[in-house]
Amino acid sequence: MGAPLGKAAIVGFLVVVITFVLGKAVLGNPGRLVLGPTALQEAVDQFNAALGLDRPVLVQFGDYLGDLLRGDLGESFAYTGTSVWDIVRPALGVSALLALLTVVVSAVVALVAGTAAAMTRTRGVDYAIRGVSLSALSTPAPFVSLLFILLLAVNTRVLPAGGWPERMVERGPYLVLPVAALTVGLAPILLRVVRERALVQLEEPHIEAALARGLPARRVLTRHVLPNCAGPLVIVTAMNMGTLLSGAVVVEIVFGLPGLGRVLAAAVGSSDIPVIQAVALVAGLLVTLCNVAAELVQRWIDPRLRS
Amino acid sequence: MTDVDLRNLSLEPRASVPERTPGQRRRNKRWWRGLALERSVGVAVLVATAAAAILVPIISRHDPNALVAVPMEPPSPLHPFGTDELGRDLMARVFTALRVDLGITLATVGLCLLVGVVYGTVAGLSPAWLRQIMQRFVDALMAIPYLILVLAIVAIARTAEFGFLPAGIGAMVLALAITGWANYARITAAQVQILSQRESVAAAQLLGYSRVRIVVRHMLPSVIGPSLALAGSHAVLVAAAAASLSFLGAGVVPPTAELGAIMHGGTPLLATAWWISVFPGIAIVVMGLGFSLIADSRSNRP
Repeated sequence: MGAPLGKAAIVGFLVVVITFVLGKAVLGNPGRLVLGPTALQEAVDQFNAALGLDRPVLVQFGDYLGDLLRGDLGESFAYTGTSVWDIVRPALGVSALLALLTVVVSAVVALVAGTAAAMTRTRGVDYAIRGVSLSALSTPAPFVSLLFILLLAVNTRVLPAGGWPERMVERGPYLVLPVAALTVGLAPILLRVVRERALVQLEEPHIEAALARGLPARRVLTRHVLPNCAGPLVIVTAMNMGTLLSGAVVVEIVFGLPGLGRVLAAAVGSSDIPVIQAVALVAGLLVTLCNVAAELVQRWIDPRLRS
Repeated sequence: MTDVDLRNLSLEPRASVPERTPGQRRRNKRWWRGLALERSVGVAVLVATAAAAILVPIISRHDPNALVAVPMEPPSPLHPFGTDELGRDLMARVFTALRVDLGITLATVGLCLLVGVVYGTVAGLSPAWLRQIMQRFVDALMAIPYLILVLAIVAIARTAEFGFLPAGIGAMVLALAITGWANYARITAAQVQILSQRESVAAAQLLGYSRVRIVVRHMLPSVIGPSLALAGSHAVLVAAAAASLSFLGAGVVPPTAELGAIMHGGTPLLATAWWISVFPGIAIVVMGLGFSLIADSRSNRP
């Protein structure tokens, strides 16, 4: 229990260090950047002094860390007076929802198709799965999104091509294509894990014994094979959270969902450094959390790891 | 898993790294001997892609940046991929862009491989406390989703007073490399750590070989394999990331032809001129498939 948590704490701290370095050490003069080249030097100095940006770097890091521990991510450069957290928080919710739905859908697809593929075990199925998953992995998120829009929204008008209604109940259809686009990226990775695990499992003597005792195949599958696929599935899902969130950035922008990706793109456009920093930080901490959670879940699933 | 194979019973801890002596490496150079169908297809696809990219001027008579026809003209014998939103020949642009993307991908993967293997080797040979810190740093770098980190680096580098990165392709390669080397370092460190406990390494030390010689001649040949295998799948990721970056408007500077940028140009016209977005998309998929097939055949090798 302790080791993964300690490790995650160190990683989390280093994520904070990296985002700090991103924002502070590289940036030349934030006051000049925000106020523009025509601003008076006094105004620039005043801006920097107000934000404490004229102090030594280590002192600034202390401030940054202290603010973070108090839950204060700073103030946006682009929208003066607005706290970064107020910009990032609603977006984080949308991105997290998108990621969660994608993980669930991908896991279901992977478990069903993966075990089916492991059980048929014919060359044709094997090649088909490898072919489809390789093609899916080679297709970048923006192209997948555009293809979905082209096929299902422009040509047939089955689903909305993008947008995000105010009312929560109406949002369902607007999530279908984004989740589908992200699933194309995640499901093949998980499918291969499940298939390989299931293939190993099916060779085991205890499966043969269970079948010999007359247990129905479905019960053998759900009670003996699938639980053993769950551990690796959880770990690989967590390992791919970063890739998933990267894809989400693109997908959110293409489909117009107000998630972290949209916030980040807007911040990149307006050089809103505190927001860029905050998005990187929040995403990094989220992935770290997912990794440690996956490790703990795996220990809970697989008693052999609890030593 | 459950049954014990008596042949594998030994007092030595089993390591997963196949050991290769310098002589063996020479024999293994004849890599084409076990050439799987998958890999030959992958290599063929990549060679064809590269050839198309290099031979653009011969394949297409049009200048990729010149306005040669009416905007948004559908595919025709004169313009096989149609024309883009400004009336430039799309085929010339896609093949030119392929050259740009292939270059970005290879440069990034090369840089990552170099930095990652060096960092991983140093980490693997370091004392435990230092190795821990170096590995946690790698973990932290990998925790931040790469596209977010790349976007942040590009955005922040652009705003730096003297712009330490040039706009466009150079910035993209550097940002992609800064975020991409971590996985190589992680793998290499683990391999080096296992290998440094080998008897052959101890023997080499007893023979009085220098540290550098032991690392370069006795460890690196075995250590580099998994990193090379990773390079294939990493290339797919980099190609996608480069296209995504330009698609989001943070990559190349117009009018540079880049697959993601061309695709982005066609996005608002999807309903009327699908070809502008679809052809560059297909080009990325084909390039990615070439890399994927090679990576896959490597990882499936017995």
